[in-house]
Amino acid sequence: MVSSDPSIWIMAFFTIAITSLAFRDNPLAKIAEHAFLAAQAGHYVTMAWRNINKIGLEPLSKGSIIMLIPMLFGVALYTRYSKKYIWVSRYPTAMMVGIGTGVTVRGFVEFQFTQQIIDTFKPLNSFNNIFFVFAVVICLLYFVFSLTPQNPSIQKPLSYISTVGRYLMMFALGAAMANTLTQRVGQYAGRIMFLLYDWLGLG
Amino acid sequence: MSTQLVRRTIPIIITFLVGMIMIGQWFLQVASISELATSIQQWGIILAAFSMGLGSVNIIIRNVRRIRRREGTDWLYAIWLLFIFFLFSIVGIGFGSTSPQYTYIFNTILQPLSGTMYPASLFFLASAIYRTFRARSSQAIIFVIVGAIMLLANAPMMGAFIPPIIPLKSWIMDVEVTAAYRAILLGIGLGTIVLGFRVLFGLETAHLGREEAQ
Amino acid sequence: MDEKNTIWHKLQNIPREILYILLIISMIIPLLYPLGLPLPISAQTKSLYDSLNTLKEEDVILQFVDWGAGSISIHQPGCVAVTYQAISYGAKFVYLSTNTEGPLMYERMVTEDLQSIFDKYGYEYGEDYVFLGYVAGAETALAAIASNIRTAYSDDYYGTPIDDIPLMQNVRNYADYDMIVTYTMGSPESFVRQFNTQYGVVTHVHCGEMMTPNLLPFWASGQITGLLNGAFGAAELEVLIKRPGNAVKLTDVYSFSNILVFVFLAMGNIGFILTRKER
Repeated sequence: MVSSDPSIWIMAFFTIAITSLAFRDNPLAKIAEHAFLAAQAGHYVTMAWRNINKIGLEPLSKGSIIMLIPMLFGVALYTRYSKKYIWVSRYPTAMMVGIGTGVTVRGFVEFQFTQQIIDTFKPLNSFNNIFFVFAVVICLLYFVFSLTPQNPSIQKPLSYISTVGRYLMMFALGAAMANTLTQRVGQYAGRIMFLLYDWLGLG
Repeated sequence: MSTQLVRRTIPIIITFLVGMIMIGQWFLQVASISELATSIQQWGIILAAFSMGLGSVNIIIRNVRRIRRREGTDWLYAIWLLFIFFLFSIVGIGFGSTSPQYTYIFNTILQPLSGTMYPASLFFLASAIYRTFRARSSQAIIFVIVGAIMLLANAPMMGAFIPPIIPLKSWIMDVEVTAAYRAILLGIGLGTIVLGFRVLFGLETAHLGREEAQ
Repeated sequence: MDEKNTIWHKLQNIPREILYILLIISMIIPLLYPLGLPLPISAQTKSLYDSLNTLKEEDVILQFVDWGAGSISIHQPGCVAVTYQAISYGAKFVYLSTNTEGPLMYERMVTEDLQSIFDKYGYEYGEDYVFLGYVAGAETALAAIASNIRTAYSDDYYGTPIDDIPLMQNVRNYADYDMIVTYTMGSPESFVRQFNTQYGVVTHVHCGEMMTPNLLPFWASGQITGLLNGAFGAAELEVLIKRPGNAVKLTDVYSFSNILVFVFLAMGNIGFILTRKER
């Protein structure tokens, strides 16, 4: 039975309005789009306020004076809207970039190189393992040999390797394309489930 | 103090020092450095929270301009946008995100919008697959054939009609795709590390904006 | 006859609205009339399941509710299935989020699915499970959580100071986490870097199908122990724990929709190949 809950009807309206954008632009879709942008920005403000309050303001109010530094830096971020004082926002930006870069880069070598290279050294005792090692090496060589050497006796064999590498990567990209579509189907099916089960009362 | 020192050099030094403290926490295993790094990470959380409001300021400025310009019906959408924005912000900060009031407006407005906006790209993707993925070259043929096989393999029904498609899918994903993506990851990793250290050592300063005119 | 009006040209130019409508119909039919087809179990899902079966009583699992409204249908069943299996071993749960929509997604999941599971096992909030809420900062926040969770959270989502929560008395840093599971549509590499690479914490990932190819190398090397491939992974886990739910229904949708897109891809390419000589 069709739902009589007004909030379900509003949710159904927004779902159909956004979907209609795929067919053509229309006023209902514009209303939904604007509502989405605004609601998301408002939600970010709400969530940000919680963090600032809990991690910054509360310790500050309990006497932790050191928290004044990140709080002032945070406020300084908004000087980017002033032409005269925009340079002040570089301080908090520099700190954020330093923290983020340091935290990411520090484990990167072990995470994305060491472990990956170790696992590539498989025993060459099966077709799958031989193919695997071959594919990793050839695809890597594709990237390295995009810097084309000048010596013609090396150029031609390397160009064959490069071509094989490109074919192997087309395999991977074809699979990625199919997976991307599959994911979107799964996500959108969630909305169809809402429309069928919660709004129209079917199934 | 010179303008260059205050406006560019000191921020670059801050990036370097803070980044090195983070790296030191990982490699040096010294209690004092670890505690300092953890405190700075806490500061980073607060800064990230402040930065989340930057988009909102932009939204307010742009839409107030749209209302002032009064072009066509554009300004009506701007009023609607600002209404929704302030509704969420005021209810969220005033009542709290755990309140039934905020939960209601989130579930009624943002959840269906957010839940449909990104998944609706399915239609554009399906249209793109149909119209543009053509077997124009030998590489494109591989791309289209493998894509088609994987589309079928991702349909469990096909496992009943064409049983060999299941081990074929496993082989493609576990051997071929893993190998190719490993090579891609190693390549990307090199670039990321180089860029990361360039940022820490002040060779990349895009995040600081343009240099002032001398 | 106009040369561009042959069937082969028309095959390449079917109006997109027809494709969209057929796509929607291909999703509606299996949701109204489920097929219940058998599902092969992937090695990635099996390794997560086997890892859950090694849990002991009082083991603490950090579960990152990092999905948004766009992937409820994919991630919620996965999180419920993991919780259902882990709870049978007496594990404890710390739910948290680095996604702004995570808290509302958590509350929805509890209302729809988890509360009945917690009630069945007599689990009490604060004693056996807790939700800490959203923390800003992405990888910076993860680094803080790994080294000292109290630098990221001073209280739970509902305002109870963290030191007043019985479960959190002995949960401080990486040494106290027996396992982490992240459910995200984004890039979960940061979780692996901050928890597994630095501290060796067992890390599982439930990602969207789009991210799976990127993560397979990390699963193959053992950095990610268990990997759920989108709704497939969630459905496979539901089958393994003998509790089929919404994820299994979704796989029926995949059957129809993927075959439809395959047919369109094939039609377009057949028309393209057969009209090639004209170009």
